[in-house]
Amino acid sequence: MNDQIELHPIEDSEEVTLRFFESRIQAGFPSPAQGMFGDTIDLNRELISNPASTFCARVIGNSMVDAGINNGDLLIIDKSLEPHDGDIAVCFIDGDFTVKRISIRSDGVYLTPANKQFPELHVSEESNFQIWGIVSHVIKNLTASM
Amino acid sequence: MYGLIDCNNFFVSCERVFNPALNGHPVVVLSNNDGCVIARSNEAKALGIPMGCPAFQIKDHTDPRQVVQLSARHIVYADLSHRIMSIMGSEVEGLEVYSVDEAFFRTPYDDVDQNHQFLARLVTKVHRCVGVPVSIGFAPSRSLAKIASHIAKKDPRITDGVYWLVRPEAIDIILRRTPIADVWGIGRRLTASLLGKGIDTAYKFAHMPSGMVRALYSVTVERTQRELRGEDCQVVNPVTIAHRSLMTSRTFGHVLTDRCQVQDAIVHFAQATAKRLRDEHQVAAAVMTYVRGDRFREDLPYYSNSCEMRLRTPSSSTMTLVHYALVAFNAIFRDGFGYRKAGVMVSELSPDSSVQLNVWDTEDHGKQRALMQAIDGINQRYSAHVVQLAPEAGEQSWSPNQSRLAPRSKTLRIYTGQIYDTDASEDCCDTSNDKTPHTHHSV
Repeated sequence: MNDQIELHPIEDSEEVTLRFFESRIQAGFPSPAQGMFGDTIDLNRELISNPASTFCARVIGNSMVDAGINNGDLLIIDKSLEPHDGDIAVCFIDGDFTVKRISIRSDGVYLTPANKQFPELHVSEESNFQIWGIVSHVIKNLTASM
Repeated sequence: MYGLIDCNNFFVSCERVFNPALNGHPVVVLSNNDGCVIARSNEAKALGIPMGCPAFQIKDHTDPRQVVQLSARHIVYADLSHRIMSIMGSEVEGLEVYSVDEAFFRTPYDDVDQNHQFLARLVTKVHRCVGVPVSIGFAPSRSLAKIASHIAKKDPRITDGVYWLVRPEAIDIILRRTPIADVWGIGRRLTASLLGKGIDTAYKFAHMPSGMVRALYSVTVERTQRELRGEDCQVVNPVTIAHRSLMTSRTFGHVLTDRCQVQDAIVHFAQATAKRLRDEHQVAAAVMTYVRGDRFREDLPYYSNSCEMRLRTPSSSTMTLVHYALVAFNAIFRDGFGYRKAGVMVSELSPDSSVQLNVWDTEDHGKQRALMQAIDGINQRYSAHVVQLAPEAGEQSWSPNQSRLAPRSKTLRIYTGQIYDTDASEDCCDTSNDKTPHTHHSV
């Protein structure tokens, strides 16, 4: 199959600052009276630390559901970050893009899915392998009508 | 000293960022309507495909089935170029963006080895952050830096992407090997004329009598000659190149940690840049803000970042440029770091007579221009800066001005894309087979 990141530049994403209620949400409903009313939050700023090295991609597939990454989610990928054991990364391996958790062990690098139905992948010496970028955030649509 | 950063096989490298499967294969990028080859991978060069080769003639050079031919996607290339220039702008002084894939800058140190180490790290950083391989050459003049960057790109012995030409003996050796046609600023007609006089290398040209060069050709050509001798002659002529970018920046007297202080500086830089733009009758289509910590302070965590905003309609209005510079600033400023330097750079400049209005633009440009002329007039008459915008500390103080501005487009120029989960190809969509509308794999 022909896997590729398909590009769609967002030309005109508006800057949107939202009023931000800083209250710790423990499964209950936040009381509007508790929060700080003055602050606003800009989601671009919240989600993007390094504009020059940040890219987005949409997920198709279910191999990372147990890590909270579902089909249709939007990934924020920062190429400037150094990969560490346990990071979730967009990788390019043997001709395909995939998103997996990186496991660095004594016998090499593994790409670990977060779904028991999928096998773990050992990155062999012969693999054409590249860690394309580290996934820093996941944007999910939680509405039922999605 | 001057550095030149040059992106390797830029358009092909951009395509490879988003499709690493192209690595190692001969790849060419074709001009509009798939006419001619405008970029080649090293593998395609090795097959003998010349630059400018019409697509249908590729078969004259090699089996066209083994060459991946791609249609140019200039929006993608411009985006990656902006990212690279944005990183460069946050790391070095005096960045002059010369083309989509080249920029001159001043090297940060006096010492050659320090420059070399710093620039080698920068090559790695750009490659990691954007995915495009780059080369850097540095030398006492721009013309020599250009030759050095060419060597950095071509010579397989150079593994860190950096080459410098500083010692006179080394410069002589390299100039003897450099064909006159490869000297920056020596075009085809000039080359023919010089070859007619037996001047076939950069070395011979550099050692022609200066008076003769000036008499036969022009002052500009003589400047190129002096540059090859290691003099800095400003061959990037600010008037003829019409400043592809303008930068205002300053190193602070001491490390600033307070947001308001840094923000004040950004406002001043943006104001000064807007004034310079108007003085040159130019407008800018992009505004970049950068902040940088102090590399030499080991007691403070080092942070540097930059963000570029695209304008809906190119502008030289102080209000517009200050606004965008601050939006960019807000995106990158982080508390808890010390800032030693900051700057504002505008790019994609064009004459203010040729502004094309954007359909969605609600800004009254005539009114803004009249206001700017009035303010410039007053400031000129009564010493500088009698009339200024009044952005007070804090973001909220800016909101009254925003009602005048176009709908703000905060274009962080992020790509969305799709990651196909390869293990789950069964249950994912079936459109995945046709995801390469721009790719022609000749079969």
